[in-house]
Amino acid sequence: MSDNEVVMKVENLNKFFPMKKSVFSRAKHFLHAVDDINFEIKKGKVLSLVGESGCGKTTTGKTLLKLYEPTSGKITFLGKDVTYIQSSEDRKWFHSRTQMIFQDPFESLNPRKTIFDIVAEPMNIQNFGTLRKRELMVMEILKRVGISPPDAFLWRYPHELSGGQRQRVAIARALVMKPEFVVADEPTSMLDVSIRTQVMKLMMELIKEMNMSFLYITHDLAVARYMADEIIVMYLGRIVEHADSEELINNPFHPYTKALISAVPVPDPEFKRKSVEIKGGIGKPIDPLPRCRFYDRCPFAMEICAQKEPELIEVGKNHKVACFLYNQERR
Amino acid sequence: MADNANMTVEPAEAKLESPISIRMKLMWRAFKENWKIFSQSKIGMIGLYIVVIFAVAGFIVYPILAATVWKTTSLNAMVSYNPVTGYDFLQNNPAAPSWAHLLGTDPLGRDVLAQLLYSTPREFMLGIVAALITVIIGTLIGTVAAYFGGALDTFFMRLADIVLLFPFIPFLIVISGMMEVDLLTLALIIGLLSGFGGITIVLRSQGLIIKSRPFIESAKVSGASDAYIIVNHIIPNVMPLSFLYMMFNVTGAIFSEAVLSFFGLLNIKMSWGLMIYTADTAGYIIGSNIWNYWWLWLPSGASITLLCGAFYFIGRGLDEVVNPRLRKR
Amino acid sequence: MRPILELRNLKMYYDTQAGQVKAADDVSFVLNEGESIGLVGESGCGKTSISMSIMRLLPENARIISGNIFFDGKDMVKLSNDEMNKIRWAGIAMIFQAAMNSLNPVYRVGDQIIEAITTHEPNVTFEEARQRVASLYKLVGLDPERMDNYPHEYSGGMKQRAVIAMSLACNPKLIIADEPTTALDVIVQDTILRELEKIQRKLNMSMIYISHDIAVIAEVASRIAIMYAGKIVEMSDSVTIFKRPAHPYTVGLMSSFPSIRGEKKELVTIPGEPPNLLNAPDHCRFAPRCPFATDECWKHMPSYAEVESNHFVACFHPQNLKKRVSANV
Repeated sequence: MSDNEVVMKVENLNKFFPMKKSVFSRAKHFLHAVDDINFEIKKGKVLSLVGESGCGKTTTGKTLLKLYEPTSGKITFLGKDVTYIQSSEDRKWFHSRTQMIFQDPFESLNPRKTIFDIVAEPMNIQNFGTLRKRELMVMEILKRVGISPPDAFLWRYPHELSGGQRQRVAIARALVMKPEFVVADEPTSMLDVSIRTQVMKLMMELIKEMNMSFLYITHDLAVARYMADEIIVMYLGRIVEHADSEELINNPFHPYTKALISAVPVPDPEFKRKSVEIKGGIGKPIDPLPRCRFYDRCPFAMEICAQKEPELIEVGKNHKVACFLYNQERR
Repeated sequence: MADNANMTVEPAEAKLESPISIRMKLMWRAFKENWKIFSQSKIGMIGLYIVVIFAVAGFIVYPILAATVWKTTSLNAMVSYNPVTGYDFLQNNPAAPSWAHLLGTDPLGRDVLAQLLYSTPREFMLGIVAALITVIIGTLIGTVAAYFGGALDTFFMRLADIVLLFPFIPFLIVISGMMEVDLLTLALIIGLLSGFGGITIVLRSQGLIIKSRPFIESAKVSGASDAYIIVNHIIPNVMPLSFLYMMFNVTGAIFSEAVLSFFGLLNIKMSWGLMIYTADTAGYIIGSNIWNYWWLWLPSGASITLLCGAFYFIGRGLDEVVNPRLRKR
Repeated sequence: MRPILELRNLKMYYDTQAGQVKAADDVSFVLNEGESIGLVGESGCGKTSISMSIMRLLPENARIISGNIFFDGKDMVKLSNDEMNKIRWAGIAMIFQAAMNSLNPVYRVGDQIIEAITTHEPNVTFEEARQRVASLYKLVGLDPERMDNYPHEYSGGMKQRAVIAMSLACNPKLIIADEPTTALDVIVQDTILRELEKIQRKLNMSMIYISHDIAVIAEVASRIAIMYAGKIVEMSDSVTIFKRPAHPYTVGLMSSFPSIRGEKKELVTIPGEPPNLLNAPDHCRFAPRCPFATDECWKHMPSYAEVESNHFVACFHPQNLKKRVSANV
């Protein structure tokens, strides 16, 4: 596989949740959790989905890994269309090459299983290799993530480990079968500050070493800047801006991106931060009207913003924005 | 590359034990830890002592006694301590406690203590078999309903509602009128009936909680099938609760049997409830007789109460083991 | 500037089954009226324990071993629970962690604040209390019309403002805010922080901010105390802490946050894990993770001393100091 090859490609991905009153009633309203998402991730690259709660970033990640079925759209993985996979062979092929790292180090490990069982689980499910081979691979990956000496930890239970160690075990589990594509859902937000940096650095090393494609989901722009090559900013299910990390941070276009950047507290007491005034709070994208979803809160809202949904347009090298401020259409 | 392989294989081989011995050691360690927590609960330990006393009495003491002291007696070759068919010609039956009969005899001349001890293992088996069936059905249905949700879930929950409202004892009375009910049949019926009832609702709730935890999603991401997740993740996390409820179900089963025997509806040879029934039909529990002939109902009644209570207490003691939040800091 | 709160050599320990946990170990600081101080540290460093000790909201197995907590001149450690009740809320108010969850879901928000008022000031009539709630709402940026809504009708940011309003209800002299914005999205966090700053200036309120996020603390607190393993390891005004941190832990912390401004820099990791406070050792508790640790650090506990004007450090090898200091014993 060449280094420029696209590992994961997402086209017009939609995930709508029906809001039903009971098991037997028909849904009249739909929650547009993920609405027309397009991106691609090349081999060895890290893409970050950034946004506040309810923007759809976690749902996108889970839909890519088949925890949800997409409502419509196309997902292409390693050249194959995996939008709806039926045969068990295809499923096995897909799941052995994709993995996920979860946010909560306490809840993502089954408390009744030993560390060995937890890390070996992907291999157990896929029926991969002999028992001896699995033991060796578990020990190897545990050592690589910093759980050392591995044989001292193999037969311990999660509650005997600290939060940082548990998250390392979760990473080990995700990487034991050397997947091509990994989704990480806020993997450091529940860790102590001094451990966070350790885990982030570990992930960066492993990404380079194993040349994996990573989708890093976070609400923290500073972390996204550090970890990712490209950043996508999402708002209420839609992409509002997409650019290379440094470009997005230093040269934001969309009012929401600007607000996000200016709202981040700066660890410098002498820095006078001026935050962009945006009013109101985040709603829910239920049966959204055909207009810009940021219209209610945008300080630069214009008439056209209430009439049509803005499309993503190029405003620079590899830099796209969905905003009528930059769209020739505005009248 | 070959050198590397050798280096990793050798030290690893030396340290890896056979998986079975490791699992055994882990289970033993887990057992010891749980025991430490359980033994701190006074109420649980009291229950455990009572159950152990009854178990020893029924499974060890009685067979020894039956084989030795009671089979041969030097007094009279015709005195037999058989709890069902024995008859003591020497006394006016029912006879008050004496050295020959430590708890006296019943209206039919049988030794009360022998009856008590003979019934003990049977009560145990009844309780445990019924409870096991209940818990197995409840766990399977509860976890499957929780995992799949939808119409399946709704169906089993409404069924459970109906079972909860079901008039249990009258139903058993009707059944016993239609067929011969012995202890094993009774255990099966109680097990099946309760299995679809309240316990399913509780275990299904627990299953729902487990279903939403991220380690389930992690298994799905690795490609796990529904059956794998239910068997490997949901059931092991529900089992402590199942085990807990099993204790309470033993109580219910023993008590139901006692009630039915009291009405004379069961086709069994001897049980504690039957002892009270015998005394009642012979008129020894009415009026002033009740205190004059206390040995006819007090030992059996007390045994029912104590054994039922004991299992309940064990259940209470297990609560802290199963639910870590209840433990003392 | 007179001191409103002074902690002097406070020691608060927990007794657990596994041993003694020294949650707060010899902590001292002074807070002046109208000032805001930030307590920064990771989980288990003792910052929440200190706030609980000040409010005397300690669990059964926690005890204040020694030390004083002077509030407005009076030592609160010696007060009875009844006397503490008078101080709580009216003298010192607290905004708990994840405060949005500390609103009772079955009562209207306005009523809950009124309850706080009438509990501490029984002479206030219902009408007066409602007036006060209305003006509090305006102060925190909420619409007074929404006083009669239930908590679930509020958004996360609104709930946080309501809780802030509740803490101000009885005009306290001091507010302790424990991670006031951790559960909020970054834009809402920004709004709440500016709100808190505005209120503090307007009412000349003394505040203690507790957080693990140094960026948040940088914006709201004029003085910062860095805590580690139950002790304050460094304290100074916020500019000094950020620009010239002395304690190696502070140095590490400052370089381990990814920043959104300026050049993209390499992150520095602090190796190892936060310490276990169970049976804590009698030498510098940061030694296992410190790049500057020497033999001395493993044998003795550094004392908390003023190394520069208004700059306290507990370390044998403080960094970045303007002038050399003699070895700290």
